[in-house]
Amino acid sequence: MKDNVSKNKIYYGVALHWVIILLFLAVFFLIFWKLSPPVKPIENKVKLLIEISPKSVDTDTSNIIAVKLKVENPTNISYPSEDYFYRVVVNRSYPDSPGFIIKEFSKTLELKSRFESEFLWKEEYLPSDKKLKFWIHFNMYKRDKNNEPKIMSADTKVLYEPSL
Amino acid sequence: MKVRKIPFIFIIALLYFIFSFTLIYLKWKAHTPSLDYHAYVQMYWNTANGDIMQYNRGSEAQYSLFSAHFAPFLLLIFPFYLVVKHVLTLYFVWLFIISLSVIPLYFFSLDKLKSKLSAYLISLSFLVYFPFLWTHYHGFAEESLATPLLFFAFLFLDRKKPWLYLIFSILTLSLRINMMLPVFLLGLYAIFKNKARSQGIFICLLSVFWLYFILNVIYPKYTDPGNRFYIYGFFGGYGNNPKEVIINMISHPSNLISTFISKQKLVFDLFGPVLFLPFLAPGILLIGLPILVVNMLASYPRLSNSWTYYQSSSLPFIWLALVVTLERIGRLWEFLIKKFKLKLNLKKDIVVNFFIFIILVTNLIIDIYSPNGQYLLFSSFFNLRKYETNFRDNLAHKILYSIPKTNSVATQHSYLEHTAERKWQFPNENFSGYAVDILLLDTWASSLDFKPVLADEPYTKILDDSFFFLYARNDLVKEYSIKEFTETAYKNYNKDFEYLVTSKPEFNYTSYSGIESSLDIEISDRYELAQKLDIEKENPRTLVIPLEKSHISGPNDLLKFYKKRVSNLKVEILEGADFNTDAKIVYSKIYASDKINHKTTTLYANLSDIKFDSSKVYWLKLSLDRNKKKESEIFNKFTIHLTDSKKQMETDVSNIPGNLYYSLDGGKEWRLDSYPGKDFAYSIIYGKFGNRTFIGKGTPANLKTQLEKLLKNNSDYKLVVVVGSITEKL
Repeated sequence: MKDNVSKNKIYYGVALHWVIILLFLAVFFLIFWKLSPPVKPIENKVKLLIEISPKSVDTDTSNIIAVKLKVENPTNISYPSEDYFYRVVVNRSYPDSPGFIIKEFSKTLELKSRFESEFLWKEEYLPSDKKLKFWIHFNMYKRDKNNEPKIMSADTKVLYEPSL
Repeated sequence: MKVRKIPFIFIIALLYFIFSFTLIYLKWKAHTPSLDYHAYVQMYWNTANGDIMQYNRGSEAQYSLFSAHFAPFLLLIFPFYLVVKHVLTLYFVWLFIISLSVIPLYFFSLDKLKSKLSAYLISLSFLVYFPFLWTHYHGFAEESLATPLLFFAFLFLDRKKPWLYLIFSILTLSLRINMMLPVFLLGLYAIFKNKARSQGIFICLLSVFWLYFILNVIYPKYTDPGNRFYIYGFFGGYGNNPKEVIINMISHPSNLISTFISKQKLVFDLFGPVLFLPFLAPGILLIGLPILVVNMLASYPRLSNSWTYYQSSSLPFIWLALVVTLERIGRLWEFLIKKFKLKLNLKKDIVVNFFIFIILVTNLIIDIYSPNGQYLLFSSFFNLRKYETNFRDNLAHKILYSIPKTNSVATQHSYLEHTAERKWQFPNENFSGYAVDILLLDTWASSLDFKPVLADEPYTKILDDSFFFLYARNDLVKEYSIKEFTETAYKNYNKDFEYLVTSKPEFNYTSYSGIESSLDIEISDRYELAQKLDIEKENPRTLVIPLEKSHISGPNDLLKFYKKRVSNLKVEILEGADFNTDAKIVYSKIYASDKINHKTTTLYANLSDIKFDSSKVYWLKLSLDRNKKKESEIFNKFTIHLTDSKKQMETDVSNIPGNLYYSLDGGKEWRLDSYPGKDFAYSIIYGKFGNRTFIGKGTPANLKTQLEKLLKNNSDYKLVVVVGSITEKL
């Protein structure tokens, strides 16, 4: 009788071990199966549009570029100027990569509203090395106290493309 | 109350941990780079900020570690970083786990050899076995943890603790994809040796599923469509996917054999120090061999190098097989004594310990006399230069930690571990074309990867001090009078954000003979140097001389502690057209050798009291003050640095005689043509003595307080450069 009790204990102990391990592994694989890809997509709830004139620049000459920005908020949320701001950035890669800031501004964006802004930029950034492709990004960010601001929306155009 | 005695092996493991962490800490403090650690720190920083295991791999995009290595184990120890948010936390936890390796090895040896002395000798031998040292001293990688985890897995399997065996096997799998190989084979071992059959079957199935899951779920999710998986790059010489690799391997067997043979050094490195004895216990050794073979067949050469962590999962089986071999030798000895009725009073323990002693001595000899042992204090290749710190390290620390973590930074490898806690960091060698916020360069960084900022790059120099150069991107740089900033302009900046500021004292200017190092030469009892000084402005106040103490013979001066080193460095400034005939000494100072260490330090000569006359010529002369009292004493030597002469750089004419005279016979005869086109590297600071560029960071209100204080204490600080963008209100 005593032996049977101890055998049962062992049996239940072993079964419990298997259950715990299988459960743990099932949860583990499920989490990593469901885990979203690393690069967070930019939400783009607020629609941004950047237009430049001329459409591409020449690195040999000094360029005055007219930049036109359009912001449209189709959502039912307003974006106050204390918490959100906009940047026009030039770099050779993605909207959230480090870039040369040519304009930074804030303006409250009411729900279901839109605004436009224009400015002239004297191009002084592109290096004489003509092998690199450069982009101009119009980004909207949310401030996060002393942390890196979070990119909310973006629109991108080619600023300079090397000729083949 | 009964107090349980703690086995001494735990103390040994703890002492090893203290030693290894101290070494790593000193290396970190001395800005000596470690392979890849900066990338892992960045991953932890990003994970703490919501981006799981992301890093920018020195590029302008963010990647997940899981695109290269599926290492969930790193997430398991991540909470330690949350508790202590320090750059070294990961190193601390990692080294602690690695230091435990010796504990299962000790208990397995005790089980098999039944002798504490043998078990301790084995453990000590393992701690000086150079392939083990290189798994964790060269740099960081989670794969190094395979050594302790597999040791524990095997010990628990052997001691019939199947659940613990199973847990440690799963932990090992969670290190990297290639761990499925030893874990699978250990599972087979468990099945065939009938140790924990059901757990063994489960682990074999789990290993196969783990491989399938990574290749079919994880990598496709984290790899851009069209790109090959990161790990296939290790076999890139054979093809772009497993099918191509296998077909190429099978269809070109001669290539395979020649690749394998060309990497045979690894076999000698791993098995030589253990006298090739593990081959006598093939049952265990076979668990660790296939991954070695895979590493040796790979196209990526580092995989088959013993100075890396890639062999971490083989090491436990090499040493466990060694212990089993020693047990067999002991048994064989007893059998022979019995069989031949030998009247030898030589117990099997003595025979076994003799072998272990030979192994210990072999390892010690390798460590002492070859570069393999360079991480041990008693090795003649232990390089003090990597661990010493001086004023320049403190200055580097001050600059690096004044940069807000929201700024992207490019710098040399020496400093990347200190800039890692941010979203974007770049090695300086990748700098061209990147729009990084801040760029820090050091002519004398130990990583040597100096690359100057070109004139057409949109950067402004905001600080130069002792050959450190700090630049900020032009769009972020705004200059104010301190009064203007503290009264009004500070309000233009985001009140919650931290900004970097620098303030250079008025009239402060530094000239350099050159900013790139091109050659090292020595000042000793025989060699002296005289350099014509290029004084650009009136009232030079400080001459800055970068130099270091040379090693006596080999890099480890600690081993020459019994030899007394004498003589200090003599710095003289001479006035006169010819320094050797009609010059007058206007400055002379002896710099004590114990104040100079084996890495580049900067000496500061105060020129304020010298009345410089612009019509006259000035020379810097470096020599030794020779004051040897006994024959056994040896003279110090000092390494100094040469740079390409500015004159040569401007005109690009080779063989222009410079202004550097070098004497090869203690100053008896001077030669001008020894180093054509070169100048001694030095800089001259103009302005008031003691004034340095101020550097600080803080929120606008905090900066206002700092700058008001600065202005109050020293009226020479008038202008401030603030790095950061201003948000215009539309």
